[in-house]
Amino acid sequence: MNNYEQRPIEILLVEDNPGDVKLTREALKENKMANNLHVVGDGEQAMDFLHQSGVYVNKPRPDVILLDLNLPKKDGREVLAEIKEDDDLKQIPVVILTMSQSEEDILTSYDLHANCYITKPLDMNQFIHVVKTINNFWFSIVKLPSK
Amino acid sequence: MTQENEEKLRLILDSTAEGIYGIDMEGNCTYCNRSFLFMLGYGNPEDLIGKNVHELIHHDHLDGTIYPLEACPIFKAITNRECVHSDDEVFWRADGTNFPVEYWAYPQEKGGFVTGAVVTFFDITERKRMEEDYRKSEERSILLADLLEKSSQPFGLRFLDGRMGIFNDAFCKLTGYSKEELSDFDALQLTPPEWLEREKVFFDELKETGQPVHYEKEYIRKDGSHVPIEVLVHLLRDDAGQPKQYYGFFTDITEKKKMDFKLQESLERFRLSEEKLLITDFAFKSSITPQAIVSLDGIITQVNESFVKTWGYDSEDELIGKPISEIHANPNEFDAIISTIKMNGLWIGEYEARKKDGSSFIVLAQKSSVLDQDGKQIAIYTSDTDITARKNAETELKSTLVNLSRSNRDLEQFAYVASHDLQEPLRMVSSYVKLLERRYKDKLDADADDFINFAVDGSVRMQNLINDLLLFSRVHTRGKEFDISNFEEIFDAATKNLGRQVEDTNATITHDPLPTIMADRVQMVQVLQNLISNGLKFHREEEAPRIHVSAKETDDEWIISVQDNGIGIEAQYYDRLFIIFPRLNEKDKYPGTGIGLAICKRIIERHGGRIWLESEPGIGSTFFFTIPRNLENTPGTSEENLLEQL
Amino acid sequence: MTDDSTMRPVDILLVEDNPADIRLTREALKENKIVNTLAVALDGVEAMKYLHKQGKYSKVTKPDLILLDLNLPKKDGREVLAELKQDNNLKRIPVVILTSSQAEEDILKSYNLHANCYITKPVDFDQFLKVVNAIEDFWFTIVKLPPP
Repeated sequence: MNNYEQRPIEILLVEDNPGDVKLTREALKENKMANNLHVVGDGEQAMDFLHQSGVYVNKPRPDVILLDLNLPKKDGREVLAEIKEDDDLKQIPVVILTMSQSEEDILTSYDLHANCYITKPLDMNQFIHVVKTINNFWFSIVKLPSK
Repeated sequence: MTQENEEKLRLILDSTAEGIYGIDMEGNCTYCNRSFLFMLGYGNPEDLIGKNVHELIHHDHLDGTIYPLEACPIFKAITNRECVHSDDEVFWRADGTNFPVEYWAYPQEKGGFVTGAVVTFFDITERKRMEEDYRKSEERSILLADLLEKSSQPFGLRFLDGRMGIFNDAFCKLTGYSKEELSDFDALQLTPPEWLEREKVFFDELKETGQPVHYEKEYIRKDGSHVPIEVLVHLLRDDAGQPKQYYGFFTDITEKKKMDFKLQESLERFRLSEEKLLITDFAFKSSITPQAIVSLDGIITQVNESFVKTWGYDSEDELIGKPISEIHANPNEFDAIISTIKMNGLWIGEYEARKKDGSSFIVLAQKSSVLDQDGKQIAIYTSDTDITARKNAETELKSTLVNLSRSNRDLEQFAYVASHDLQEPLRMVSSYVKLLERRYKDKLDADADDFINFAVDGSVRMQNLINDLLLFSRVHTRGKEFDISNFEEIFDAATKNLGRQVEDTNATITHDPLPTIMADRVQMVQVLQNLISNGLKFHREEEAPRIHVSAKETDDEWIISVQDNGIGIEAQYYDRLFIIFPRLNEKDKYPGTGIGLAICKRIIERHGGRIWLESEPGIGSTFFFTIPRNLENTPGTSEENLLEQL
Repeated sequence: MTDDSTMRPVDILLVEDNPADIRLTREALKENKIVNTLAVALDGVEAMKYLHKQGKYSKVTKPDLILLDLNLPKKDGREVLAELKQDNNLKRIPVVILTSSQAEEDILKSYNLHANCYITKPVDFDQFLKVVNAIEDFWFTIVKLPPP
């Protein structure tokens, strides 16, 4: 595949657990394709980032959002709903990446049009593997909408 | 008295110049001499002897009043026994004329008694006249001297050696010295040294011709200041004819000089303004831009030649005096224009004009009001340019661009559809052959393997061709606006994309410092990647490929070169390289669709540059391409922009 | 593979009109170890019937994943997608758009209609195999699918 455009992929990780943030970052480093990982710690910041408002006024629009469900200030479910109702934001693939295995959460997420739902494995190595697979699938196989 | 003595006496008396006569106590003439007779116009002494001399010759005063005997001093001489003298009376001649006389009267005595008198006299006419002349001349001299003295015109006389002679108050004032100071003064001090030289000429002329000389010079006043003066110098000679003195009349011309200067300035200003007027008039008349002056109520008052010609008339006269509506295709337009000008002083716009023959054309006009010194509008000046040609060109250009744009879109669309429809069956062929390969690889013979390989290979090449065609068709329609692009970053991107190929061929790729240019970055990566890829592809068997990219700067463009040490290309093939689908080498040695260079050329041409190569078979090739440096001004940025601008 | 992977056989609905492509997909899926049932609908109308369990489809199970081509006869893939994602019963089913179109408009439109992801069919078969494997890997071993 020829890529004349060297623009790196922008990933927004909405995650309040610093440990998970670190792991995600490590896993993404091994990516062939250049990517920038942006991290926000709560739902409100997530929306601000996406609306490019306040301190995020110069931030780029993400190509993919990795969204945890349980977040302070504004819940991940709310964030998902808001994103998928916003005509400007709904095209951005949202990968729910959460601890919750509850069926209710899974159903709700898909109902709210999450693109996919992934449970974070407890094992560190597996976690890295998951992130790598997400990486590989969404950035090498899938066609993302252009900006 | 003896006869002899009488004779002697008579001789003496008759030889004198004086007139002499004697009178007795009554005043009667006792004798008179020859001069008496001569002076008084008598012929004979006998005419007088015994007659009263006073009655004959001294009877009246000059003014005609009677002169009584008693009043006469001569008579008094007798009566008073004294000598008398007078020189302010007249004697009367026989013919009735008179002459001024000076006389002396001596009483004659005999035996102690006065017997009479002797009178001697001179005709002092001459003397009187001379005295009168002298007096008159004296009077005149005094008057003249006084006039000179009192005159406001400085006057001065000096001797040759510079000693001052006569001068007046005005001269003192002029020079700033007092009378006393000038009395013992070297007048040559008054002239500044630089002028002494200059006036020598005049003095020489004066000495030679004796004619007064007139010139300008300067004096140094007592206080050291210089005063410009005009002088009229005369020469006085002595009796021997040698120059003795100079005298001159001086005029302080400070004011005059100021006036002169002011006049000069004023003249100069006038000349300049005259000149300016001439020049602007000339400019108006000869300008190739049609210009006209129109009165405030819309009547043409002046036009230049260009205006006449542009509107298709033959002479100025056909236009002057005509209403401006004549030259507008829509006469009402002009009223609106005039109102705008009266309000704002200016109107710029396009209007439809009408020629003499009735045909119309488009004009771009700038009309402004002409103001007098008080700022009042007095006329309208209009400068009109025929832009019909330009408008046509614009329309044509727009239409050409639209066509070009459409043609590019058509090409892309065609290429897209073609490639899309071609890809589908291609995919079928390729996929199933591969499936065959996977499933039955070891179950078929070697021939079958070969067949499959060829089939797969063919489809792969077809796929690449289609991709390249798509790329080619998108050069213009997907081209981005030119932006600041760092060529070193472009180099890095291109080499990164070729990473695999570089590794496989063990190639070395280097570059000189590369510039930052205005370009479509993505397309530049395409170009560079293509050129480098070719260098890698067409390397000589025995040597690992070495590629070097460098840049050269000229006044208006950058020349980028990509040099390789590959197999080289023969000159006869140069031209064919850049067209779509050329084929030069055996295809299985050097894979590649061959459309890459056509894509490069299309991209470079979109940037306004050129691409070419130099090569030596067996040594290597260098591809050159140029990027113009002022790309901001190049319209080839993006088609939408270009159409928008029109 | 995570320990919460879906290890049961999965049902895939492939909506595709090109028989050759269908066959290819089937062969590609065979190569994978994940057990699956591949159902096929040849056009948009059939697809909806299948999903609504109408007619001969009354006994079918709801698919775990839909592979949807865009250019379909009778009812276009884009329409199918729209209908699916508006149907409360069906909208949870992950839809993977699997099409030959690379057009930006198609990609954007699909995401706007809530396609879960969009994949262009590669021309090269090896690549195609990779893609199908990746789809399987991702959706059946990593992702938590909605419960049936």
